[in-house]
Amino acid sequence: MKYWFLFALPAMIFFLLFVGWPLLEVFRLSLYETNFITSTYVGLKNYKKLLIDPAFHYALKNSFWYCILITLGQVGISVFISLLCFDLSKKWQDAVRIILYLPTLSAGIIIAQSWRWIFHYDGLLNWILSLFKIKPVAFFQKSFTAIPAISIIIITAGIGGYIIILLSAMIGIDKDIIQAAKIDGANWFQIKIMIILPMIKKIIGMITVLSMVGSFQIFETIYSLAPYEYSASLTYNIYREGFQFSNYGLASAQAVVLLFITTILMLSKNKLERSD
Amino acid sequence: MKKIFLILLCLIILFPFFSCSKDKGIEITILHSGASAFKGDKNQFDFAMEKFKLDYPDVKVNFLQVDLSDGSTLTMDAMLAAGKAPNIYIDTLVRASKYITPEFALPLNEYVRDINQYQDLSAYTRNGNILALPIPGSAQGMVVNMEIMKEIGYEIPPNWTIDDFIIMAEKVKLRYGGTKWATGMFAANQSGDYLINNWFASFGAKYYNSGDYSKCIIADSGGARTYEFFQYLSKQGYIPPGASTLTDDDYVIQWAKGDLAATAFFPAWVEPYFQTVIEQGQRKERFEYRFVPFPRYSGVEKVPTYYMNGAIIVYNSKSEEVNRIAARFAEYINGKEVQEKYAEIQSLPNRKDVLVEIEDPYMEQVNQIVIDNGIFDVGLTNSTFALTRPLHYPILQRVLNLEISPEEAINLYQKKINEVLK
Repeated sequence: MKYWFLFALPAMIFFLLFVGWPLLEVFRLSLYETNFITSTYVGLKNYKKLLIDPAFHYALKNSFWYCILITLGQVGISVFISLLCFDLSKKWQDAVRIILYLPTLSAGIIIAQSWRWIFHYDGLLNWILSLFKIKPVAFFQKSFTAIPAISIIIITAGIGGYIIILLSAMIGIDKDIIQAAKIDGANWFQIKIMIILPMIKKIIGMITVLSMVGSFQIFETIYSLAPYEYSASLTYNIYREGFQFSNYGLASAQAVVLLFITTILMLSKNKLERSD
Repeated sequence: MKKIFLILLCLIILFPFFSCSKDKGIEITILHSGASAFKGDKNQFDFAMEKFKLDYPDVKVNFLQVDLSDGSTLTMDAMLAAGKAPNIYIDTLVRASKYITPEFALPLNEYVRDINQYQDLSAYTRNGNILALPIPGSAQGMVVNMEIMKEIGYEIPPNWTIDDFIIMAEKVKLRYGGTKWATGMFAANQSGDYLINNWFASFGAKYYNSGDYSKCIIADSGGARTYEFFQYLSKQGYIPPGASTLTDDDYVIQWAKGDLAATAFFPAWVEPYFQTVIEQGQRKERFEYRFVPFPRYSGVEKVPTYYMNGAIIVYNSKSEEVNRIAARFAEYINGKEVQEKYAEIQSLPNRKDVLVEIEDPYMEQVNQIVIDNGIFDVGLTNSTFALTRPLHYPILQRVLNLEISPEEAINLYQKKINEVLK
């Protein structure tokens, strides 16, 4: 046991080099105004700027919208599909798992490009709308349509993983409990809602938090489909502020705020895992 | 056994810390935005390498290309942040001007042997030091699709006005019903500045007053009229729908496909994009076109045009030897032979020893626009240009989406630029 640290050392070195040090560096950068040629220490000025920066407020508001839509969508749909799949044979369950997990394996930028053909002004969705005499919609032209469109893409790309987790949790439920409920006269719907869902509520809570954290980190879909202020997430705004406007200090301050939000969410996930 | 295992584990962990590569000698890194498509097999780097290798056969030259996906200075800044500044940075001034600063650039006066062969270098000079070499560039004009003009039965009058433009736009709309448009517009990224900005000149607006780059006057000089015009174009359907979500890639293809009647373009772009759409099967053959000045608003006498060129900047590293080697490469990459090749592809040379007669009719048309109307000063060589450039497109998006009034938008734009200039 006394050599435990040696076994942990590779992971610790990796963590300190590639996570710990960059985190500290981001925090340090947030206290500077820099273009990487010259740097000036400005203390908390960048954080003060955030308080009055409309683009940051917009991105923060958008991020919460993404969080609500994506979390509701991902958790709701994955729970619904998992409940439907629960009664299927193992062969069919595996097939559903594979099919729904495939988008998760694809690169985000490729998924975004595929969806571009659907949401494009001359795309599939507008063609379908035209069949009902509805005028074409520029989906990414307004916040009102861009945020739901982006959310749909993220939801479909991410539910596969959650379905695997949920199905595994459901399979782990003691079959005798379900059998007993059937003997007591519970129907299909009652078994799902009154027996299965309460028994996997901890897992649902966990994937809810994971989905919330993930929704704050969406970037590539926005970058390739809707790189606008009105649809920017916090992560996209950080990129924009840094690499487009060259305000690296301000971008770092936003990254620290994002870190703060995701840390709170992760702590709540850990608390949930520990709770009974 | 346990101890042997632990020792092995320690060795594996510590191995990377003691690993080192053998001495590789001197290497220089060149970050560039792409090789020029010269006639023949060789590009500017091939020409430079031939001479450079005679001087420095043992020096390794690494080439890296700028990520141009969003038009920003992302690659350069990432390299600087990583502490790996390239020895030479070659790019258009829209990005490169940010690095023409004494803190970054090597003063080339003492390093480049043929520096006296260059025409006016004042725009690249800071405190008496020449911090960059200009690459041949080109002016833009409004390129008119003669095929569309023929089909709508319209001839662009000399010295045409905004009213003439509207007449033409209405004819295009009536003839094509929203499948072709009077002009192009895009605002999904910052790359449209040189194209869209020229409309400000049409309405007599100016970015800066007589070269005073300390204060932007775009709102004070009547820029709101331009935004008002953009919103009119959008409402009337004279520009492609969803223009705020289009990129430069959409724009150039729209033009080459023949979907835009009259729009801003550089002569050097024409042939490559014609080739693209023909190869993609989007068009069978080229269409007839000609360059004219941008239309002018009433009361505006001349509409200056946009001129864009590139720059070669040598990073001022701590090693005098590396600086000297990098400067030599910079010298060769912009030498007489190379600039003659630039002239062949419709770029204007800026060396005194390169005398080229312009034979290309399109280049002649654009040159005539410059001679008659002058150059629109957007502060391109100012080191703050790359910082002010991305401020426009988010505002333009809101203008094109009709979410903001022209006055509010232009005041916001001017305010944002002046905040940066401060």
